[in-house]
Amino acid sequence: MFDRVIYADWHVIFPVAAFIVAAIFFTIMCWRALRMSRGQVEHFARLPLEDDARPPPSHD
Amino acid sequence: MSDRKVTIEYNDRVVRQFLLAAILWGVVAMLVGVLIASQLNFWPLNFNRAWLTFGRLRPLHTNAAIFAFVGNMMFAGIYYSTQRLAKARLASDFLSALHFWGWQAIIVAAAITLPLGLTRGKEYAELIWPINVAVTVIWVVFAVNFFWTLARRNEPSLYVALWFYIATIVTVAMLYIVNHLSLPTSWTHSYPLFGGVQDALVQWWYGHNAVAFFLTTPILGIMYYFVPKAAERPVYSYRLSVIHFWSLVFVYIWAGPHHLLNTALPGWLQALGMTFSLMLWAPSWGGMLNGLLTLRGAWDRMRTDPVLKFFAAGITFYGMATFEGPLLAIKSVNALAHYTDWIIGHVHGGTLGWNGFMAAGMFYWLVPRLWNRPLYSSALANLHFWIGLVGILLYLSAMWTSGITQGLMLNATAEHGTVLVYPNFLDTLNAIRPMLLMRVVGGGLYLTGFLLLAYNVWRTIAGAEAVNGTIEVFVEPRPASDRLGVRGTVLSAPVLFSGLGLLSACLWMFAGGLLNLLGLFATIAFIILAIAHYQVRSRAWGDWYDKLLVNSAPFTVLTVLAVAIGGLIQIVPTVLVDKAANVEDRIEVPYTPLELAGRDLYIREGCYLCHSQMIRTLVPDVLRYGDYSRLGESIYDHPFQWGSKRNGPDLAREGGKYPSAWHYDHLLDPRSTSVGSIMPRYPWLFDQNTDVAALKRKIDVLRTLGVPYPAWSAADIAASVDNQERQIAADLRAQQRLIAPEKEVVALIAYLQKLGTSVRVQPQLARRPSTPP
Repeated sequence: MFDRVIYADWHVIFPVAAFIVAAIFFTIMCWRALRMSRGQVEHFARLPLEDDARPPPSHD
Repeated sequence: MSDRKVTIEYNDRVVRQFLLAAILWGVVAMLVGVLIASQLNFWPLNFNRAWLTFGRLRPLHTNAAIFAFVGNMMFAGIYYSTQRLAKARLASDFLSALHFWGWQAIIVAAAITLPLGLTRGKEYAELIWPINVAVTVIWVVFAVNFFWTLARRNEPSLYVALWFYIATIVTVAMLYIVNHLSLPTSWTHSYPLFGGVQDALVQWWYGHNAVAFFLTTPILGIMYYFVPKAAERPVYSYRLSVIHFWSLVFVYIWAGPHHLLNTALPGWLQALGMTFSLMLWAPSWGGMLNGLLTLRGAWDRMRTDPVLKFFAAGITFYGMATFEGPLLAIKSVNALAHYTDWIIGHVHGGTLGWNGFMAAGMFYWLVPRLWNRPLYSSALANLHFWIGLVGILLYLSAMWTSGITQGLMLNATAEHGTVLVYPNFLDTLNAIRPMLLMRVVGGGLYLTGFLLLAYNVWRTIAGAEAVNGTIEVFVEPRPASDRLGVRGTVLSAPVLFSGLGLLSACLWMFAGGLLNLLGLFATIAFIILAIAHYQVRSRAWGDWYDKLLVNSAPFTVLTVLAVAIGGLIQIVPTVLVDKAANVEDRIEVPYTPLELAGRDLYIREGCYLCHSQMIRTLVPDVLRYGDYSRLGESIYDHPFQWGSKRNGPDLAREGGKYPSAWHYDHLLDPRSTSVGSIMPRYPWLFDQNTDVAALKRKIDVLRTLGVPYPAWSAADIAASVDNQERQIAADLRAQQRLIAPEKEVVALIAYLQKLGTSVRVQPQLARRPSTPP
């Protein structure tokens, strides 16, 4: 059955091929992200918290 | 570390300007939204005025919500966070000011031209070509200002929010330019380069990704910056944010065809759209959970802090909308939901819930900091939250109920699927009237909440002193070893192996004979070689990726590649395909000059916003409207008019269904022919004359685009128009409807009576016919 689905109408191969490309891309990116060092991750994660030169105003 | 310490003052003036503009345009967008929702309940609210009808105001509502409200909010958030993440002032005050005022001028131009009926007739791409050019120029100004700032940054690392901004800038530019390619016929009118199925595909590649890259990726960048700031703790998982970014950017771009399921679009594209839409569940929910879990430990502040409330609810709505989107992209679910209010509910869950609440959270966080004064009233902000939340929930539940009800009624059959249970479209419409009213109430509550925000902000900033943020940084030159030029990017093992693998895979898929076999073996060989190379040189691969994280230009190039691959695979085969060989068994006969004039009136009045011209390959559609639509039947339509919503019935085979007198009465007073109709009246069509003079240029442009018109002179066209006008006017006169032949209503009737007429052909023999004047 699979043989027929994939080869009888050659256009049907596009979703399959696209899925494989995306899956490979996803795997590579996951691998790279998981391989980041702890120090690197902490440095990046703290970037938004490094810029406060002045505390926000309050009613007190 | 260098001892060169400098104090940088950020350009927060432009942030304040964009923030206030977002609030102003947000009010306008929502006000128009409530008005047009009311028009669907009470047709007299169209006021019998051309510029106040639903068909002209609906594009104003969508464009204002997307480009004016979310656009201005996005620019405020991007400029504020980019300066701080880059530890650098915006590169150019002039470009910042040009960006702000240019964008506002574009919005004003849109607000004037759309009610005047000046439109390209494509959803979210309605603005006329001179405004399109202006949008492109201003977008380039934005891009230059942003990348120039990155180039001058004092923080080498690129935080993930900046990645999302980069993806937004490059992808929106690509989408916008391709979908707006047009040939002008005058200063206010043009025809799109693509027609029929090609136009449909390009339009929804753009339309879907406008949601993805205008309404989602920039707001995700804003989420990754502002949520940690508000929660005062780092993002839950930076690793997850990296996976979120790459998988979202790579997958999103492929999903556009899910807007065209069960239509005449080729099956492989429909399958592609559905598959990739389902795959979107993973990255979207990864990002949503990352955002929500960043709030861990800050839940106790949720009760009193309106900023955190808005962010938590906004991210939750992101999760809901991104669950619902792929669900609706399943072909069988889509058969029920498409063309109904369910889609409208889905879109508003994203816009009001995700964009609107993230915007409110960001505004409440920013305003005290930008004007150095505490928020006027937290209680009022909390009240805004609850009113807005109740408003959205009412809106969504009404639209879900309405959509499912109407979808079920429209698809209901009896007698073993041979007879419609509700053959009259109006029966299904009248069944959802209470839900349409509920939508007005929900939308009205949301608008009320937003007005509270506007009041709160106004009271906070009235008399307050605007302040710009400052930071002290140590300026040190970046080591040369950190740099990764174009050569270093391209001539690297990961890129080379990916490129060669992709090339050989293409050979395997597209080439024939020996090349096909060669492609297959080459693909396998490159995969094995890549794995082997990685085993031996894994450190070099890792170093390359680490450098990528601190180099914006190569990172941008790779992002462009990631989004371009999906677009190219969808669009190139469809655009290059031989039109004549892909018409199935019917081919459209080009419109006569009068019918073409009528078609432009149909587009001007926004009829496509309520009436589709696409009978899907579904039994209930065929039973209701006639034989399913073929690719060839809209092949010369620039722009395509397949539609996306049915507030009224499909018109693909409307021609000849009713006499011309019926259309005359229907356009003058829809209730006279269709009791319970919600359609506006169009009395001005009976007063204004058809613009015959413009037809020569229009037909010449269409010939250039491949529509097989003969080389008609202006006199030929005028004679053809005159002849057909007189025939229709005589027909109407015979049925006691007196109208001067030159009136617009005659042209529109000519067009409506043409719909669905085509020539039957053998696909392999299909040729473009010529129509004598």
